[in-house]
Amino acid sequence: MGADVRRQVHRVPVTIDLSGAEVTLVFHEVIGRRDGPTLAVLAGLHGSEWLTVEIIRRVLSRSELQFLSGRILALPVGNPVAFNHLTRNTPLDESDAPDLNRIFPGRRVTVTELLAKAITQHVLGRCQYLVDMHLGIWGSTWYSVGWPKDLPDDATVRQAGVMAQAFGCPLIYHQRLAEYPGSQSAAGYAGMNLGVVPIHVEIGGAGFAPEVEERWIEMNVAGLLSTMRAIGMLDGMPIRLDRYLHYKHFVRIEPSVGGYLYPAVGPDALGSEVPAGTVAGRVVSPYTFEELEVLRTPVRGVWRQVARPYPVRPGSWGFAVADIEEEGVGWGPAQE
Amino acid sequence: MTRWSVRIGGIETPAGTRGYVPLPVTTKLDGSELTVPIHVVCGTEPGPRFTLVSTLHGGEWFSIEILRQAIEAVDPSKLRGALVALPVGNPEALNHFSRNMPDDSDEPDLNRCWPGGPTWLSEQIARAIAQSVLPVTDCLADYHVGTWGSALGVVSYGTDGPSDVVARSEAMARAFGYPCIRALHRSTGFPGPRSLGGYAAATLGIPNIGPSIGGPGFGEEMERVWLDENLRGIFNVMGHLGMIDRPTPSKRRIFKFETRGLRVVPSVGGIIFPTAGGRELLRQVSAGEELARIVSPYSFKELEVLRSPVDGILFGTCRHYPVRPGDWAFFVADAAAEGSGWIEG
Repeated sequence: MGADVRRQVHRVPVTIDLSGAEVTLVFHEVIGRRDGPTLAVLAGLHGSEWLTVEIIRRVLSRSELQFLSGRILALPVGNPVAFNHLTRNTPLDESDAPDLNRIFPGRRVTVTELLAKAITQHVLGRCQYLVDMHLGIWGSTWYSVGWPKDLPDDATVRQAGVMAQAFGCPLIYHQRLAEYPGSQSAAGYAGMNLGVVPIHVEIGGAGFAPEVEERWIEMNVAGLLSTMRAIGMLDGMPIRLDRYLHYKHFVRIEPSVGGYLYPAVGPDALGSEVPAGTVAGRVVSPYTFEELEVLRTPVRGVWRQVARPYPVRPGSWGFAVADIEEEGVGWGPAQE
Repeated sequence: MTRWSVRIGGIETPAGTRGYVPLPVTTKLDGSELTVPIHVVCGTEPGPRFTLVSTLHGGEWFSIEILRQAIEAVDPSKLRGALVALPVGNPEALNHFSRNMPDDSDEPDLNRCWPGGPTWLSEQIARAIAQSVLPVTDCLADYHVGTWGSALGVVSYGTDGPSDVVARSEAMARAFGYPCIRALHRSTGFPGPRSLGGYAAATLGIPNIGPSIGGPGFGEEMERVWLDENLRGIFNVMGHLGMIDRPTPSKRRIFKFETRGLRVVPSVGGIIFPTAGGRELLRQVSAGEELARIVSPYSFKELEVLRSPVDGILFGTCRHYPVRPGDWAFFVADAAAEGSGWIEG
């Protein structure tokens, strides 16, 4: 990295847990050689979504950053307490809000809300752009980028679209943050209250063949660098695909029973069309070996989430399709 | 057809048929009934009763599929004896994907509390199996495979029971056909007299092996190889026991060692990066050879380097994943230790 680019690792004390351990927020700051915008990259708000650590580690080591304009604030592990247990939510948090991505800006003094408060103060409150990354946990993988459409003004919405489409994933989810993941998600809160331009990235997952996971990691790294180009933090042209799938809704296809999930599709199917009624997978009892449930696509769609064989509980991450039956949804060029 | 059957938990599986026994254990706090699933394939002719046990530890679910495929592949009309399979020995721990029972007991590890007792969940499961299944078991295979991100490659047997039990256990291990076997002081050492294998051999005189081959998180192709190795091994043992007609498999060289093996695991929490990828079971390693680095997911600084302490054979490996102190990473068999070496299978 060039001498003009500075890098700092910040450690923010958050609280002391019952074990005596200090809960600390650690984030990286890369200060470019020229002034420019500040991009925040959030990961690990959910402790089970750990593949993003490697994505951030690689991005911050890329030589392109020696020509950075502006700042990057990168948080590889948003919820270290949950990460310690590899759980989505803060374990042993008996509050009614243990999901860190549902309680921003953080008002009370549970561990989760104190983390949200620290992230809001030290990261969200200092950025103009935000990439919030949520990858598949062990056993599942995703393939979509969210473009929020309910931000306070049209200019912000357009900027979010530029970022989202520059990431390089053909599936673009025109999402309404207020509906999902909600106005108290990191992106929802920052976008609606702090004037931040956010996007959601959900590309990849863990538990698959090494070469497949490597492809997803590198896709995310390339996507982050491309997003930086799109917002003027790096020189060069951002990625622009020939076509994107712009969709407004997606349908989750999840087991309603616990058992062993046997998928009928694999990660190669991501991004491909599938008719309604197609078998996505079967759930078999690991006890009786009887088939308990058959999961089928309820609509004609495009695969945006698939799973590998693994034991699942009711509602565990299985499959999802972007709904392409809806009027006005389809493949096309980049949109403004 | 000879009139014989296998009776477990009061349910009889007649000769030439398949049976399912939901073995009752107790009532849990949520009101549900804890039962242990047992599949029985009873051959047309009497013969050895070979019991397979999986997932005494809830994170070790990779072997469920091994037992499912084995049970479904065996034809009762061509079987002498019975194949009994417990695909989920610890349903409660599986529900939590935890090694141990998620309760406050002082006996939470189901593979450390045999023959069980009347109190904690682990003890009650062990007691139910000990009272209902082990009396109709002539030979046993207790599976302990890798958890998410880790994989093992060894078949273990005990050397500290009655001499005939030891001999028959060793014969099973060799017959399995996997090219790495470990002769352990199972009852007096690891995993101890209250492990299922240790208890079964030393106290009940049941010859047994501990297949530990494979683990989840390595991709479909690699996991398929491990599944096939395990299935081949089960059928090889069944052929060896005279339960099925099976051509004698061609001999393979086997690396045999007589120690527990050396754990090379992180002493810190972080993300582990294996140096040579995760598909290298049974390769030779040299003393001092770097196996992995542990990197902080916070600062990205390198926290620890894991090196092989000896020249040996790698019988446990892992992929890139988050680890806590002590989490499963590598196991090395010391090639220079007494009793270690390549033998003819």
